[in-house]
Amino acid sequence: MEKALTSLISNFEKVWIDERSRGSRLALRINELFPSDKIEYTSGIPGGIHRGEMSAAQFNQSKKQLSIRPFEGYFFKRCPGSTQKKALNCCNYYVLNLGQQCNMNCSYCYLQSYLNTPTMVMYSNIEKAIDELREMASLHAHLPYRVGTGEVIDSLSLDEITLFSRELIPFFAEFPKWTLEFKTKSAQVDQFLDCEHAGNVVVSWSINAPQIIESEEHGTARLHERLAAARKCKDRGFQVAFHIDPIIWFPEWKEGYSYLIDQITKLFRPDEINVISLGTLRFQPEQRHIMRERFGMKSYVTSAEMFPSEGNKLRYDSALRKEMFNFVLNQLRSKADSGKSYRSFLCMETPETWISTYETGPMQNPQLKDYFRPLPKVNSDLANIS
Amino acid sequence: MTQKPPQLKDISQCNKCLDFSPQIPWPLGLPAVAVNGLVLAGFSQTVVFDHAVETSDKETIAGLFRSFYSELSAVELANLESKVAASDITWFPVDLIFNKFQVRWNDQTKNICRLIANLPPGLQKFSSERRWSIGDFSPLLAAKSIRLESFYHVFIERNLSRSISVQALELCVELLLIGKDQAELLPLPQEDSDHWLKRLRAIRYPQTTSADEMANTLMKGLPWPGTSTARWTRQGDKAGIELKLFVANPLDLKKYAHSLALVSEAMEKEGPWKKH
Repeated sequence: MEKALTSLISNFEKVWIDERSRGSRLALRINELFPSDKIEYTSGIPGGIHRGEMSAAQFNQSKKQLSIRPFEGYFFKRCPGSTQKKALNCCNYYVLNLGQQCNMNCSYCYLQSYLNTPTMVMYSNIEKAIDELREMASLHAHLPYRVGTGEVIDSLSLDEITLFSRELIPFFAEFPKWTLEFKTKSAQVDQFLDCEHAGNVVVSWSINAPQIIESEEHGTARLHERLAAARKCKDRGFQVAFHIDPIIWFPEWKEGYSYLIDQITKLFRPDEINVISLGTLRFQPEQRHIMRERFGMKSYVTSAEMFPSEGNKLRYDSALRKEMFNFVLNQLRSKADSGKSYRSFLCMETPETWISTYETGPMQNPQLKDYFRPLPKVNSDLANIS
Repeated sequence: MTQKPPQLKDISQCNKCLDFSPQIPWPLGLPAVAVNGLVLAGFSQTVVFDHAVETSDKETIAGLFRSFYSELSAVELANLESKVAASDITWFPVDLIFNKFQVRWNDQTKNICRLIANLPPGLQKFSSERRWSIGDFSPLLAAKSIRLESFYHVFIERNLSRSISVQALELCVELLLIGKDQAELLPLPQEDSDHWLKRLRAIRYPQTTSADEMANTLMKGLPWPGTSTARWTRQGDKAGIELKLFVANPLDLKKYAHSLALVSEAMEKEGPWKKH
């Protein structure tokens, strides 16, 4: 077994497999990889559903316990940003949640105020997710849906265990108008590089200045490892994208993000990157307590100067956000190659910030309007309304 | 539901281990109330009505408890929780009781309760009187390694309001954890509570405070119309100018429009509003 996979497995103290998942492909794979003394079969959710916020100790523990069970709701949903359309400009992004929690440990992670199960969860019924997608495809195969799997779990950091990528990539090969996006802070890509695809798979990396990776993104791949993995994907014909998100203030932030842009643009020409999205640090106000407890106040995240903003999240002062966006975008613009520029957009930002940064909203930007054009609602949206 | 009529007993025959020192005294003329020999209310009375309820009927027990107290502060709930935890009673439904007082029971709540129960009695009384919520004590979760007694003393001595004391607690915890010296954070002898809080915020948010102060100075130097009042103000993540004009007739508006155009030109030449 590879060293990375061995280390991934050793991270877990216990794996709970729901009786209903017994015999699933994922359960069989778990049995193959994990020592039998770590595996226990169970009925229901070990530890139960938690009401309200988890304690710091519970959250820490939940990263070491893996629960395998079937998911009973709709896998396929709109990105949460789209529920705040009045306050924020959001792209047409759909999410396919194949699990929740993460084996890495970023100080700013929004899961700290989101999760309510005391274990990491991987769903064993990916075939149901694929059925849902197929049903959608029967109606809207011709529309440019973008579907990401990295909203409440890193898409690839555990993919060597689950091999979900190897089931999703062939499915999306049947629907070339749709785009599948993996989003990760790992460098785990070898497990799917040999899959046949239709050029509609975007492997994207959340990346940051090295100082931030070092101080805030614990347990993640280093910048050069993420970029090397991205290059590997590009060379195999996959699209690549980057999310410079969250941009975090620190004393040498300009040097840090300038270096980051240098590294990206040295390795990738503008036409080799699908898009670079930008976002500044933001989190729910109640999350500050667990972050403070888990990471102290020496972190650039917990000690940040944050204020209540549109959408009820805490954000930097709007003038600082504008300065940070402009700085990073100017760095990117300065790297334009033979008149070709890197395509970028802001993630979960207010219309004012868009206009002060790009001088237009996204729908007026020819490079971006396809991302933001409204698409028909999907089943889960309709279910949520009723 | 109660299965049998309650029995009147001498309180010495019952267990008073849950005496969590409720703030509102029990009416003198009424007997205390107990369930299965465990006193729930009226701890200082001499006789008690003891209800026999199946210990598995947690909803009835919680409902009975709730009916004795119109409200309980976070401190009272925390003290109740700590009394239950210290006892060997396993059937008392502390989770349901918290829910009945609109407090979600979970590990986080339990952790905060343990911290509250260990606070100095003076601060317990202070925060109970000001109806601090369980969430108001959340900063203490990260404060296990720091000493806050001097700040508690300030809260009590200066008789601070709930709003100011809760904000000050969080700011002080954060600043001490950042490494600031306690002496720098305590209020100055002549400093009132509003100014103290403002100073704590300035230490906690130094860059924003300094940018706001600079913008305020620049703003004051702009050629505002004589009868207007302009003030630099912050609303969450945005800061800007709040301008008050008094208009008695349409001509006033025209004059303001002319003067404000000059302000606009001046703004575009310097400061954070400068056009690039």
